[in-house]
Amino acid sequence: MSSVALLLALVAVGAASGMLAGLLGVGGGVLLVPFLVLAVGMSQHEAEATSLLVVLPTAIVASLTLWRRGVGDLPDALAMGVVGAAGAAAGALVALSLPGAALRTVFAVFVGLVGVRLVRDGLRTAAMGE
Amino acid sequence: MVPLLVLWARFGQREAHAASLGAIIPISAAGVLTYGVAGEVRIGHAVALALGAVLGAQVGARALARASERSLKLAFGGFLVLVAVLMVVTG
Repeated sequence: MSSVALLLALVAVGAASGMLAGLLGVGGGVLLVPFLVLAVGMSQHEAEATSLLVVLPTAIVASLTLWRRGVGDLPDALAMGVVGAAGAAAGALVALSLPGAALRTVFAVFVGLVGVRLVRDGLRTAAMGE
Repeated sequence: MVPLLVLWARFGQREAHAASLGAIIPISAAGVLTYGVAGEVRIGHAVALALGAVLGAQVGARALARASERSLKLAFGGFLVLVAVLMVVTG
């Protein structure tokens, strides 16, 4: 990829991940990390580190946008995040002690079941006409 | 985080997305510092991605502020199912 094409691709993928993040309340790393590893050729560690530096301003801008529209409670959310950061460290230690493939399978099944449940809830709400 | 807030703490879908975004700020800041110390962050790539991402984030967050509870549940649930399938397929 030429450097101009790479730059355009990065901005475009960044925009897509930002939209997804703002709408779904996720960081966007789920889109950024595979792109950086598979298309840009970064190592897994570099990709995760780089995606976090994108996720930080994305979350700040999305949170401020929502705050101005009166959605959610930003101070509460920040406090939850500080507690979450401690939990993340503890979780990482547990994860490190598990074999990678097992952890991945457990996580995929969990995410899949939650997703199916949310879609079912959404469809049920639709059927009732809300 | 969003599923826990919705299914366990009984948050509305929209409030859960907003709370999750706020909580990601300190969490990602801690992660960036850790990786930054280890020298793994590719700053140039991150700046280009972030340029697009901060624009996209405003579009996404505005859509979140307007979207119905139902369409958010469907969008987020569909997103999770897709992630699960991708994890299994690429694993």
